[in-house]
Amino acid sequence: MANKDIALMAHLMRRAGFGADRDELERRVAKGYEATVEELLDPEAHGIPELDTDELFRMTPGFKVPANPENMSGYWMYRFINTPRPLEEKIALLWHHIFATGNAKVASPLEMTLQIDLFRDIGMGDYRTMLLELSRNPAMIFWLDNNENHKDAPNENWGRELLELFSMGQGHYTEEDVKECARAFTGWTIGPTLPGVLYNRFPWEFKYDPDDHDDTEKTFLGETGRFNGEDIIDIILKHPATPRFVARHLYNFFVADEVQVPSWLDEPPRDPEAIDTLAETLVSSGYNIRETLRVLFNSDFFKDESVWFEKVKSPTELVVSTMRLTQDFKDYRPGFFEIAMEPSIQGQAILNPPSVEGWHTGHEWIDSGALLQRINFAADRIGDPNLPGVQNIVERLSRQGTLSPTELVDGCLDLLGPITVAEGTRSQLVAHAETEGDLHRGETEEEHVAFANRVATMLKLITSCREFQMA
Amino acid sequence: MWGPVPLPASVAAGPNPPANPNRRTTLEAIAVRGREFTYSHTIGNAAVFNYPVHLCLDSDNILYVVNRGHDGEWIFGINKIAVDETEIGKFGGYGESEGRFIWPTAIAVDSHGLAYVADEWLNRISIFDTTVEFNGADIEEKNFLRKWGVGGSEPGQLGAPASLVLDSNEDLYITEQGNNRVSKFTRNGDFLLTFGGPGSSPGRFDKPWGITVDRYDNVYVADWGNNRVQKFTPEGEFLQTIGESGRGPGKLHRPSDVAVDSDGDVYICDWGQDKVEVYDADGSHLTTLYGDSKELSPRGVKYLELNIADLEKRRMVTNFEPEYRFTLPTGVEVDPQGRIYVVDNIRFRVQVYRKEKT
Repeated sequence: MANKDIALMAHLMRRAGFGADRDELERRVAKGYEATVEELLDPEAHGIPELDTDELFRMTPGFKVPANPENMSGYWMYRFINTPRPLEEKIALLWHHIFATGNAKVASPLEMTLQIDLFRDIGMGDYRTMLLELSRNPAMIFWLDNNENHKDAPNENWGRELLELFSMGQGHYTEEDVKECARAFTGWTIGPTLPGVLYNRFPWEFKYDPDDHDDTEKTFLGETGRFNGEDIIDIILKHPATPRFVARHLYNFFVADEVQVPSWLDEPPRDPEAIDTLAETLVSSGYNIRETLRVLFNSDFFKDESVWFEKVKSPTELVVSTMRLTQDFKDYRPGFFEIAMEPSIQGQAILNPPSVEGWHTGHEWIDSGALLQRINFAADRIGDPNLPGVQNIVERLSRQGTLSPTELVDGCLDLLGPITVAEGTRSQLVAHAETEGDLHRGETEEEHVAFANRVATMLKLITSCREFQMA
Repeated sequence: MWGPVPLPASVAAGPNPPANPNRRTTLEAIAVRGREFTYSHTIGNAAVFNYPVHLCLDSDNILYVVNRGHDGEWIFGINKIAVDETEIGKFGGYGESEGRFIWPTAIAVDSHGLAYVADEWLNRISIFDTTVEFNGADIEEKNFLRKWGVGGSEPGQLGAPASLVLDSNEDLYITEQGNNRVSKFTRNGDFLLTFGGPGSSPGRFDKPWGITVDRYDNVYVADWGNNRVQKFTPEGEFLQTIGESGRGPGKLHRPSDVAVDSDGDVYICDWGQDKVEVYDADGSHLTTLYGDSKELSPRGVKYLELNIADLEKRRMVTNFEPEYRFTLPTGVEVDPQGRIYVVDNIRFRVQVYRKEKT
């Protein structure tokens, strides 16, 4: 099997999922790149089962109706680690980045979970549906105060963020458009909710109150009419800034790190042609995200080696890819909460973004404290020869017979990615391996353990390399 | 006045599941073939229980409720509580040390007042003295006596004990979800027999959960993964399947527990569909209970008396149905007075029904 095919598939799986071990990569390469893209894009049509959560809820019923932040994050982390449909979770993570809603204000882990369920369910559908569903999503309504947006006292929070963060970006609308947008969404609110203090949480409900809706004429982005919220979304989607804004988000999340979103007005895209292609696909497909991702994953700009390892793994990506590689916690068991909380320690409290702008990504994920935490987390697990995924790597290397120091380093880099490290880094890894000479698998149990430990130590060293932090 | 916002059909359905058209929307007595089932009352709320999973009754009709808590540093342990919600005390706690639990699943109390608690993570049965003076307090592990059980799949070992029950001889039948079997032990842990094994044919199990015995010591097992309850002789010989896999009233999806009353009527917690199914001794379906906790428990009433803001919020709510229905019921028990106790796991309460012959 050609190594370049494995490397390309590994790139796809890092971006469209959370990485894959060598067994999975080989299976997918045998199936073909385009076939794998199709399977990722539409798992239902390809017979990939949904994650069965019954056993999980039997073991930990608190995940069924999350009542606290630990269960809320834990449930999503379990899905990240164990889903057979990784792109569904990845796309939910993308929309959570963009439509960043936080439990710190919503204060309902159940509503937060239902919002993520929504992203998972419709995340590869059309963007119009996405915006409409978000407009009537109780967590979003409460998060951006649309329940306080009344006919006689408009609140502009939702209207402003819909334009600035969720569709067009700064510079394409006026303050007057914001006010008119807000007026159109008056009456889009949530019904009275059952307090969760007595018998756990209950879902909130979207309610449309026609008596509280401002049904008078509005002028929005140059069009005039008695617009309701749905009309506003249609006008937004007609504006040329919208497909470009969504396209740039898709590029930033799946292809290569861009500058931070607030700079997009001033900084041109890293790859303008790619943005053009994606924006045109969005328009021609009726804003169909699945169709746009199909173009993206099959494009030259995605496959090109110049964008491989050009994204800093988010804390969630780093944690989940580590857990999937090591195949730890495939079954729920005590100790899982430490894993679920790890992205938060590394700077990404999922379901609790710092603000409605979400997280700053790329190199802003890294500071001295976060880097140390990231390395230690990965090293502790990938350097543990008792974990199934690490044992698989050891087993594969052991089949090669005696390994020279160079072969040990290259073998570990290959099976962790393949990862290509800077020549200086590779030299240091080889120098370390040379201190103990060639590596023999041996015949005795003690020799096998010693073999596994040396491999694990090399894997651990690689997790501290710059390249391991990149996707 | 509320009205629907005009949305296309493709987006009209929100994330909340539509109401089940098969469910009754009002509370009334259910009369069926010489029996009448009525809702009685509710015990507990989030201040009393935390993800309760199972209960049993002692000879004085005192309830012992096992709380699963969550996988964190805290757990509620076991409540000793009266049918009228008078809290007698609590015991147990989170941890691996003696008298504590990681994943407690079920409890049985013998005629001497000794409680046997199964833990499906630690693979052990812990024994407590329930006759000690509680004085309404949480005594944690101070009434712990001893434990037994070794994890494994050999006969006499335990593989994730999911539930247990005492027979008339006060021996213990234990479901092992990890080993897909039922094993019988003396109260001191001496192995007596085992039956079952993985599979879906009669007599085999897929992650069995709840268990009970009838007055003849026949054994009933909630065969969770196979969506059925199976009935066996005391020696483990297969007798009968009760309930069939499917969706809707009378059908089972992931049954979690089973109880049998003195008439032989069988009550099954249909965990996967948030209901309790009732069958007669022949396995003929009688009725379905969906949860009817329309009135708050005494502790719930007290809470609202002290928290006016929440009371005001509740006064604005127009649809209370989600609150009074079961969500993931995990335990069912009956007492000699015809009361039926349903452990309403996600709702932190026990709903009590009453059966009368008509």
